[in-house]
Amino acid sequence: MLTGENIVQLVSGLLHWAYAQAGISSLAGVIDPIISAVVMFGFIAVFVMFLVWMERKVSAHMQSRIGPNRVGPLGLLQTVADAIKLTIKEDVKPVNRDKVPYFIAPIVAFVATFMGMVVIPFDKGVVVQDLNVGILYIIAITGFTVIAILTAGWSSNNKYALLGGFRSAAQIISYEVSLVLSVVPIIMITGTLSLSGIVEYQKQAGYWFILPQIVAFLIFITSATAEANRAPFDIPEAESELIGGFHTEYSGVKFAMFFLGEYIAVVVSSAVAVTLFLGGWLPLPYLDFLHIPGFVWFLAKLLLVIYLIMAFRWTFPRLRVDQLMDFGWKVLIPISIINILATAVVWFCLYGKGAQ
Amino acid sequence: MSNLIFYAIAGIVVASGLLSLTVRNLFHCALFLAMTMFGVSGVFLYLNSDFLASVQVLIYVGAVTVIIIFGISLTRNLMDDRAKAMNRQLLFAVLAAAVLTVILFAAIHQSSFVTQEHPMAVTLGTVTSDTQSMTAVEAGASPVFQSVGYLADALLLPQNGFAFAFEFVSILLLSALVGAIVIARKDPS
Repeated sequence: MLTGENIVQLVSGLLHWAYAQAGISSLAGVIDPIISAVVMFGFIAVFVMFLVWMERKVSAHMQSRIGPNRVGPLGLLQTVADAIKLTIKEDVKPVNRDKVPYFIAPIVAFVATFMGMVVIPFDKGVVVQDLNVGILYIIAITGFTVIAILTAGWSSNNKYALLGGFRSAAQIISYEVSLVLSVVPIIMITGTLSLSGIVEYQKQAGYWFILPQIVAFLIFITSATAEANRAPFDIPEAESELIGGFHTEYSGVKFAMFFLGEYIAVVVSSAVAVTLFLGGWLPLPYLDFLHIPGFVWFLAKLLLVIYLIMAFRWTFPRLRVDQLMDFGWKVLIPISIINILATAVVWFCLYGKGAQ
Repeated sequence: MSNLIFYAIAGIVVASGLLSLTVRNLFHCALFLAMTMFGVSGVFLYLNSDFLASVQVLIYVGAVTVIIIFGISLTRNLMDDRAKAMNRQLLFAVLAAAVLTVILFAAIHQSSFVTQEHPMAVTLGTVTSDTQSMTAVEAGASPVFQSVGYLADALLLPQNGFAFAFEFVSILLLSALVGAIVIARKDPS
């Protein structure tokens, strides 16, 4: 039977045979993680290209247009053309920029979000590094984007960039609180921070956490959309007010890195949502006789959640700054705290003790 | 090899820590501070304490440094490279630093460290370049010690005597939070 675990075992077996032939078996512990990280990078680069195409098709569909249809079949190669255009563009830099931070900021923004992908389990055993603090690690490492955005806004030496940077930082910090609080009930129930462990718990329990924790799921998706600076929470970029926000002064490859980072942030949040609330690689109930490999289920659920986040963008109007802060602090955070308390009380009544 | 990694991390921490104190541009100071904190989390990772490493990044890079950047952005002469690096509180600062150093030295001197015989350390030395542990990793076993449960037991089990201190600190933080809101609240008038 074809499963993700078998593929990984096959590939790692081949690799270790190759190491033995080359006489570098002792370095396997160093080379293996590098190879898996590079594979993950290749996957995410292609996947993000597909997502940009998908976003344009979704928006076109919602606005009764056709969308890209000239480059390649169904316009699939449009993003490739765009990427080539971005990389050969002239890199325009402001004269009074703060040179080193200006250069580093897009790299940090991109790397920080990409590092979140490292702990996402695509199938049983198909994960670059299965940390047992996985969910905490993702929350922590993606926090670097705040510093990257602040640095980008500040080092551009442009008032719109600075305003956008500060708006963005304020927004990300505010919504990070509700994001973390919405995850807490899941951790309370499962008693583990490991993403694979949470999926295994859902397998044994026989239900996905979206059923008992629908409130947490809605809070998570909303906060994740806000964290990724996507519409309707895109006031940091707000083309019409801030002419692009923190990346106003960035062009060419550096802009591409912010762009890529934003899409990877969407992928990471959606992947975490799938893992926590939609059972990760588990098949739909009553459909496990089909023997569809787990990573196919995972990718299908991932695309569904990403479609949801894209649909938000083309459905809701942009919020004002004060509405945004009010919504985050006065609505989402109280609801998520109440959700934590309610979960604790219900689980205590049902099982009489904490997790495990 | 592993000593080399430690000295690399420690070098980054010390160098960026010194730079964060001596660089004149306040914004650069904050960025170097973030780098220092990230380096400290690297030390935690090196000691196989993945929970502390994550929390270090989450709190000190994701929150404290960002608050500091917000704070210094509200001050004047932000871009000025000739700003004074000293101020009138020099004496108290030296005093506080001296007291902190003594406390840290005493704490480090008194605590007993995990050695190779400890069950925590058994998994540590054999993570890389060992075929046996590689198969353990492939079998799904994490090469890193389960520090979360260990920390929870150490801090929260009543017989270890830290539960009260733990709760006390959380109440302290809560009161600080409420106090901040009271100070930041607009005047009713």
